[in-house]
Amino acid sequence: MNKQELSILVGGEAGAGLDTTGQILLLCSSRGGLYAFGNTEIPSLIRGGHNSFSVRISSEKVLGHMQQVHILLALNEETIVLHQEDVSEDGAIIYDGDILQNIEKKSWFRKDRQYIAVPLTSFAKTIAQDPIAKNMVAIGAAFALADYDINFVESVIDKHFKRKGEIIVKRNHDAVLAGYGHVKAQNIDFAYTLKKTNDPAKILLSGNDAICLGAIRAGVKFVGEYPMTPSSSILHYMASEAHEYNIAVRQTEDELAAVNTIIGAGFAGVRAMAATSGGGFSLMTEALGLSGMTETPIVIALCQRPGPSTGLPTRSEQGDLEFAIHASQGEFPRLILAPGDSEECFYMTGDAFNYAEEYQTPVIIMSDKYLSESKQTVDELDQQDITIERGKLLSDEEIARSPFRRFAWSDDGISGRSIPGQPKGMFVVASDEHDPTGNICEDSDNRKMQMEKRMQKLTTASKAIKEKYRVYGSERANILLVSWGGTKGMILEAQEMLKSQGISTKFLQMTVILPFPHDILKLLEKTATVIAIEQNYSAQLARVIRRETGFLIPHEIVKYTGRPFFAKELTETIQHILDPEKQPNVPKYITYRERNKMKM
Amino acid sequence: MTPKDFDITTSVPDWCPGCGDFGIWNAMKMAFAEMELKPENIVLIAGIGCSGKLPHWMNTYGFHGVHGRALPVALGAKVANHKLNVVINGGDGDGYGIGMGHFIHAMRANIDVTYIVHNNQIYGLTKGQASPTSSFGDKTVSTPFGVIDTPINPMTIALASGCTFVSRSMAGDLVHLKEILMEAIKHRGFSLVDVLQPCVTYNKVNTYAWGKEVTYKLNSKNHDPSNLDKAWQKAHEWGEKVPIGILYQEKRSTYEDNLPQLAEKPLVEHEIRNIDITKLIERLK
Ligand SMILES: Cc1ncc(C[n+]2csc(CCOP(=O)(O)OP(=O)(O)O)c2C)c(N)n1
Ligand code: SF4
Repeated sequence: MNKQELSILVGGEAGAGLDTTGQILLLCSSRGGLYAFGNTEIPSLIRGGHNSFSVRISSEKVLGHMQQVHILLALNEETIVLHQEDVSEDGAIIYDGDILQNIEKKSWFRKDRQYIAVPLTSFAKTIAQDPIAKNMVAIGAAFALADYDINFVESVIDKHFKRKGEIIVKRNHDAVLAGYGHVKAQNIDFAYTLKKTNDPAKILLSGNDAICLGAIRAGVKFVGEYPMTPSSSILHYMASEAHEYNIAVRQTEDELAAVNTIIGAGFAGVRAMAATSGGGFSLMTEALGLSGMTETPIVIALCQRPGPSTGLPTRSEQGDLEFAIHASQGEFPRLILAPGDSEECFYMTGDAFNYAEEYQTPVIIMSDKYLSESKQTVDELDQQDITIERGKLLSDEEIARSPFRRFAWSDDGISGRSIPGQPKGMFVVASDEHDPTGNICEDSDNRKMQMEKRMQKLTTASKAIKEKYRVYGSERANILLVSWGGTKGMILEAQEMLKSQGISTKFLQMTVILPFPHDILKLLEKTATVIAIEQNYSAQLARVIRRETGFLIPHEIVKYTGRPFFAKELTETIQHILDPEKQPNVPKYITYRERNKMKM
Repeated sequence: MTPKDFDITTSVPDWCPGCGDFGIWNAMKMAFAEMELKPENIVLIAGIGCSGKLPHWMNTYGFHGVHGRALPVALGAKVANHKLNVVINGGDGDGYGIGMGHFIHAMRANIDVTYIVHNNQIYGLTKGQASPTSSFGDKTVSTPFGVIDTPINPMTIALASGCTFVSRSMAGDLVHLKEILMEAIKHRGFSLVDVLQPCVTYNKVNTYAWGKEVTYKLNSKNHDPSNLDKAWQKAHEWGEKVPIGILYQEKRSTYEDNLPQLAEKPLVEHEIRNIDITKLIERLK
């Protein structure tokens, strides 16, 4: 039986059209009813430098990327050198026969690999009349190997390039067919084939796409953003839908403006959000407290990339959790949500807008480059699941009932809110401490009352928000993996790998970091081996858990190379923890620490 | 309506007796009353400084934000509900120092708001340090040997940044200030009113008497505010002779005009329940 899973990696120089290649491979899969996942690894360059796009396709749900490559599409020689290590023995390397000849004589040549020459350059030039179309020829070659329905591929190509005009459609179309025909003629028996299903097309979207969809559904009316990878695609998406959905989208002069602008919009009564990465979030910190102090609802999507400072601009990390928890002077309530995949990005963005208004405070959605920019297939997004809860936003009649005081005491910490234009709801709010009317007030009793009122909102939120974490795997397992955010897919897959070796685990995915779910302590205490898994240096969530619950997670698996985990790396490290004799080594880029043996 | 309609009953301004901010406060109430603006439709946005406290003593909506960031807040509020009258108060440190970037960008956006800068050429609230408009050589607690930077000229910066209403007035001349404020509020687009505002406590140079002595009024006989070249000349007058009045005014589409999303009604009035995104989901298939 042929396997129904295929992993393709396209490599080449930046500017060689890798994004298009990846997107087409993904669309051919998702529209054919298959599951897929696509991740780019690019250096922070516009042209030159090595780029790669990995696509994983399967008849079953795909949770993330995969290290092993079945088909390597090498648009240049460097791709072979860098990636052939990851190509499986029964896989294939498709290379450009026009620029690489006599490859047996190359120092990198390996007898245990299958190399297939395809005249990418000459086909592109003669058939597509565009040297860039090499990637299209390569796509055709890959689908020939996988024996995928080429008529269907043609239809996807035609649709994809339609708006660029007939000539472009035809060129790309012909290039794909040329690559396909060339490989088909060789009658290669390939282990990995794909069959289009008759299932409906799947939704293909990135975490950022999902955040945008969730925000639009939740009624966002103002978006302020300053471009910063990996959050910029939120700005682009929202800007493109601004007219259709009546949303004002402003590329502000900086992130200070972005956050203050959305505070202004929130104060005036619309749902508003900003998206940024760590550097921009640093600039937003003062106003984060302004939102907290003035009790103005805002939503910020914090799409992390590795820091410190400019860091690795186009790579991925989860290094800003503690920063998000503590950012800005003083103490005020904030909510921090941590979706783990595109689907959760969608629904939790809906939640974020409700929480911001219900608790009148900033809500931060944490993402990371891997989650924000990788595309994955989803069967369904149910927009009915995003409903609108505006909390104590008062009507004119409610305001008129008694003298309105915007920051009046309330046992749940939440005061009634008016917005400009409402006749009896006038108030002035200060970023200074203020009394129930909003006027500046330094009185001790008032300060105590206002602090308690604001902080009470976290407790109220904690009671109201039912699901703050998810647990996967076997209830009785005595190994507990603890993580948050974009690591979700790889951990779920590692669980499957471990299960096939008779190791049963459970996985605690924290989806709400603040208000902190203290009841996880029971789970931590009753499991024999607890392992924190995070894509940062210091296992930040584990530190937060220790601070909040007193529980010291004894094992930490972290990775801080800027590249996301692979399931295999996690599996091997967990095996190492369980049985160091059987598995003496930890994978190269993984750091494993045993906390309880360290002086701390 | 009378200026009293904009007073609040719960507290009174805590500016130093004689502070120019009182003049701005009074002139503003007079302007609002004369224009019959509804208090609930006015949003006063302010930065931090003595100047920034003004909204607290007005019976309107008010947002007293953080230092230097009043303009972005104003932009957000105005775009969210462009039916509101948005007026911003801030100091010269707030607007021309820490907030300078926002100042320039708000002018180029041409949002329809009025920005009143209480220009006392000193940092009042933090007790007397030099400000971006302090004169060369001014001795303050932070510049005991005198300011060695060239002062900011808000008028030329405004002109160069595409401000569509560039004006100056002074806190000591209530009638003039009220007139200018009314023109500024009526103006469609970003209106800057730079107000010479004596800080009686920390600035002993730029006093009421100084203002009276050096200023002269622009009128239809001595100036044409639609002439950019002439405005540019007037903007450079400083020192012995300082023009007050409207230096420049231009008709240009506002930020809001250029957002078709606002054409039908303010964003805040849109129903947000059940926004159908089926089309967007289908497009991803
Ligand atoms: C980020 C930040 N930096 C510094 C301060 C301290 N601070 C408060 S007001 C002010 C300057 C006040 O001068 P100005 O803006 O001219 O207003 P004035 O008090 O003269 O009206 C400063 C530096 C602050 N509040 N926030
Ligand atoms: S310090 Fe100066 S600006 Fe501040 S209130 Fe006193 S006089 Fe006015």
